[in-house]
Amino acid sequence: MERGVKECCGLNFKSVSFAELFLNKTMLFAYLLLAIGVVGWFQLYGLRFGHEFVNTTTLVDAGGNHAKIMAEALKEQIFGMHHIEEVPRTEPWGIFVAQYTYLLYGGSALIFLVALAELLNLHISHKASAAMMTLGIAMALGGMTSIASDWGNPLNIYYMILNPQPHSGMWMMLPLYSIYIPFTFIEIYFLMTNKREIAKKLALPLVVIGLGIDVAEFYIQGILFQLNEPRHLWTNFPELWVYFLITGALSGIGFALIYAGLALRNKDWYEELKAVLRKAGIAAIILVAAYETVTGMGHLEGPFKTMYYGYIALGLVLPLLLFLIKQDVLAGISIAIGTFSARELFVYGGNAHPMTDRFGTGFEATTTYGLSDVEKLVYDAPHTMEILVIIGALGLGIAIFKLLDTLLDVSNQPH
Amino acid sequence: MANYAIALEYQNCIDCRACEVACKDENGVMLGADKQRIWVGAVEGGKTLADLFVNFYPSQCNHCIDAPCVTVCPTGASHFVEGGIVKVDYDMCIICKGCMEACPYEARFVDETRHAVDKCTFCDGRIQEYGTTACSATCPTKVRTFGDLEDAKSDIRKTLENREFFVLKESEDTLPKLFYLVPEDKKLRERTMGEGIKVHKWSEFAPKYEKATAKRREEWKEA
Repeated sequence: MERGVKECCGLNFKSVSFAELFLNKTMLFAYLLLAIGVVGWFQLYGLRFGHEFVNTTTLVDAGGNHAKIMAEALKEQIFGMHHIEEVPRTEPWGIFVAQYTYLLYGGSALIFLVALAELLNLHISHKASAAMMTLGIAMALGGMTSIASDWGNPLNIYYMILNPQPHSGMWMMLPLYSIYIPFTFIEIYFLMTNKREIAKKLALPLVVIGLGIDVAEFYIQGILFQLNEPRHLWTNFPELWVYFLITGALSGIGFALIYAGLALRNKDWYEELKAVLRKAGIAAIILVAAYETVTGMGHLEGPFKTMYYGYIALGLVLPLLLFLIKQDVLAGISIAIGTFSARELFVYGGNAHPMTDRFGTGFEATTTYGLSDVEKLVYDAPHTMEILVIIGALGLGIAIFKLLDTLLDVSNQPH
Repeated sequence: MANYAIALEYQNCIDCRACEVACKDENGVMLGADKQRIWVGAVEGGKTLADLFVNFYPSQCNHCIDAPCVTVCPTGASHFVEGGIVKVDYDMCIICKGCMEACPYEARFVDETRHAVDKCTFCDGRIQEYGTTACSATCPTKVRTFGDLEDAKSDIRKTLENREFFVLKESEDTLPKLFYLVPEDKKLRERTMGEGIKVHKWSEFAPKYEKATAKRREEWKEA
């Protein structure tokens, strides 16, 4: 055993100082992102629970002696005050859900790809599996932070246990992630453990079960969106879970390439890893491009057009060209940006068509002051605080990965 | 057991919004233009100056028999109570906003004062005492007729049996319980009802609703 390494439960833990663990360059970068996130979280929870007008004003309050509140209430009633309206009813899900789907599907699909590589017994997977799987789970946890921020009252989550709703796609996440996250850590454990004999015996069943759980996860995610039947742009995706899986794979490959370029470039197997990721990336791009021909969001106008072309250009076309000239890390960066645009397009695009053409005579305004504001497409840009929060969620994912990497040295597993 | 609904003589609406104010007062709904349990939609029409008009469409939660908001709720906060009323248990809501995405009518909103998603309850506390909702009681032009679909003697049943009506977004198969009465004036009908809206009579419509109600009734909790 190397010096400075302690074995515990079959894992080798590095003995590192406080500074090595918490004050390395990656962690400092993560702190920066987290600090940005903290500003966002502070603003977000301040609005939800501490804002005087939002939290106290009912008709009775406004009719009391609070002249200022009454004036604000009248202003709000007549003109709306969008800066204090965190959730417009026209667009309930926004950037938090986009970030959730981006990081969680990307991370889960990366874990799926690693399990697939293990099943196919790819040579490179024996060296990079632990690191890639840890990256995948860190991304997934970052995504979950984003969705936890989206829920306005997550303290009531225990009702998901007390009052099970198996018909709800969102409820199905509870049993799913209760299994998925511990199972992924078990997979990582057996990739890194010193108990090689047991690991070899369990390798195949673990990989097969892991693939099954990954597919189940994407299937349930597909149900979650497709249960929203009036959102026809979500329901017109054939086999939505397949779309999530292949676009998630593309995001995951993008992140894996960035990580490889930053942390693995000194390894003697770096070129081999990049070659595998390149091939997987090209395959994912072709699959996603084929899928895009049957989805319905490309025709949306306005800001959706920008998201769509941002996604096509940065998520598909540019990385394909970069792969062809073997600029793999640049391709990874382009994919990471482009696929975020894809998730934005998916989430915001699903809400793009207003629900208010109920009588077939046109979209309704809910106030006669706003008759001229009625639009054919709905897009409420995210608040600054929401953008700050999703940056923080990304920072948390990076911090989780780096802590695990520093303690367990996942990047240097002999397998 | 009652199955509450509302028939709307929407051609009578004058956009006075007394219903909105009554609703906010009766139910303590937070202020805000976007924070409404009940609202009047307005659509401009006409091509020339001589022809300009505005249609007013009073609306609220449809208390659908097959309510998609109940199906998607992960905690059971959205649920049915006696009378087929769809309600939200504020103490159970995590504000995931799944119900808002699933509702075809945009009938739900986040009430920050309650820290939960909120929506119309058909004034379920009030109807026990006064027999009707605040919006119905307040309306100066008697747009709304609230009542029990299963009571053949109720005003709503008599109205529906004597008039043609339509429901909103019928293709979504949610079986909504806001029944919009077709205007008797032909010109008004053409002006306020778009193409593709199916007009119904109660005799042909009732069996479908009764069958669906019987199927979901076991989910109705005590109010």
